[in-house]
Amino acid sequence: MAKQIQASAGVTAVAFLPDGMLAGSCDDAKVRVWNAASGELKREFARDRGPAGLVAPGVLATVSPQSEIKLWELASGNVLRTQAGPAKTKTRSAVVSADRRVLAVSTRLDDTSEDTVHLFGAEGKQLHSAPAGIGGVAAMALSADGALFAAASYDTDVRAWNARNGELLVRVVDLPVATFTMAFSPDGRWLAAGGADRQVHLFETKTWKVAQRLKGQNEMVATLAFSPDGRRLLTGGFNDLTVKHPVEVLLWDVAGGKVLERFAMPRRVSSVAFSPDGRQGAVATSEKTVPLLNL
Amino acid sequence: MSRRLSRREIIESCISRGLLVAATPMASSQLYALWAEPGALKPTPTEVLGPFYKKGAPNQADLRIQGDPGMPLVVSGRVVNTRGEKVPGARVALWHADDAGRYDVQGYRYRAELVVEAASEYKIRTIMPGHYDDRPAQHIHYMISAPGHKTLITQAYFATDPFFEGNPDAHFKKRNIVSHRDLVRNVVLHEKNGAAIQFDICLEKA
Repeated sequence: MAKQIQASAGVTAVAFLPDGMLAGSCDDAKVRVWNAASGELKREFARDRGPAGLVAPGVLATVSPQSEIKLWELASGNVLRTQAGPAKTKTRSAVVSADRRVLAVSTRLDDTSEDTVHLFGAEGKQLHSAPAGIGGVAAMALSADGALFAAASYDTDVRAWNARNGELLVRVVDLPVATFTMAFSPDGRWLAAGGADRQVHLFETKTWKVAQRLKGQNEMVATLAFSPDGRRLLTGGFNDLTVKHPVEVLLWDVAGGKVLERFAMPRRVSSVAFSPDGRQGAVATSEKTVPLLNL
Repeated sequence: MSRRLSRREIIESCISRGLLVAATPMASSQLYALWAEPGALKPTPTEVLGPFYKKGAPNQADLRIQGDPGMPLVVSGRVVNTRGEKVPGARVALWHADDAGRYDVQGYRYRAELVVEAASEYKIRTIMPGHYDDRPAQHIHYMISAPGHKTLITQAYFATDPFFEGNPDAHFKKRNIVSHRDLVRNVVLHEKNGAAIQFDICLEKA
């Protein structure tokens, strides 16, 4: 079993594929796919430059500088879909649901500070759009079945919508600092939100009350991932503003709110991922080495 | 017969000869706009909010902390709208990094949310912000809101910052950090009280 993957460019986001492969989005605008057990490079393909959305299971959403959105199938490197961003706006980020049916996009009009979020269906049909706060969208998340959508803004507010009918379900206004990363648990019961306050807030999506606050990360939380069974969480982030400051990736027991394990990392962590069987983790730090964790 | 000068040329000539002087420090573009169309000011250019805004900062004018390193700095300015009207009641949230380039996100060091009064002016005593990796030009973040006006998000920069290599006109576009030259302010140095900048804010009506 490989302890780490060696890449030929800095890796900024990681996701396991169902067949034992690990995909990494790299800072040379390529996606590389390795055999996670042997570390062997299996494929690489060029993606669009510009923001690369979260690597949802098997799919990557990218936004080109011309606001063109593409969905890439990581297993093949094929483009599943290409669509223009909403007219007259600059598209800033995009995420796709695990079932690939819903695409969420954030956009901004020139010379304004307010972002708008848009939801698209499987065929690229626009379903809903809504204002998403002042200062820019910091994080977006879709539940695995595409039923729930959440967006966090740098003005510190978090909003969640019913993605099917566009209804605003909650606007959380009592977080004093910004949320940088969010994920729904695989069953959609929880929304985990982590950010500048170095905590993870677990919202119960029926009531939108905070059921648990996970405290123990010494850094600001920049990325998090639920285990496939939803019982554990991996978190990572950055310390102040020095890129090369050592940090830790934490493994949490969600129900108990306890830290199960800490893994030392040499510098800022930008992405964490669980393998489909939940036994392995991968960490992206923008370095050419991707540490693999036994979980 | 000599060529008839354009209004801009006349204004430029007057500025260069000291014949047209702004009563309060303002960027030349603002001065042109004010002269050409009395009462129609240009709104302050916008900037990114950044990741470290924190809600609920105290309404405090003195942000200095005993024993903290950093050159003392006074920041002051007026809050007006594009019609030149005062905007009493405007809330001016501002925050910046400490001398080492770190933001306090756990507490409220170097953060304030001021409410401007009838004179529509604000003034804080603080220190010169430090530099940091991701955004290597010293800056102060602002978010200004007022009833009936668009919320403005912007940043103030310092002409003396080594980032601008002594010439902000030539270097303000470096690394795509600063959105607009007008946001880089001249620094006045006082023998005893350190540095000072004036940063006037012009809001758009909603």
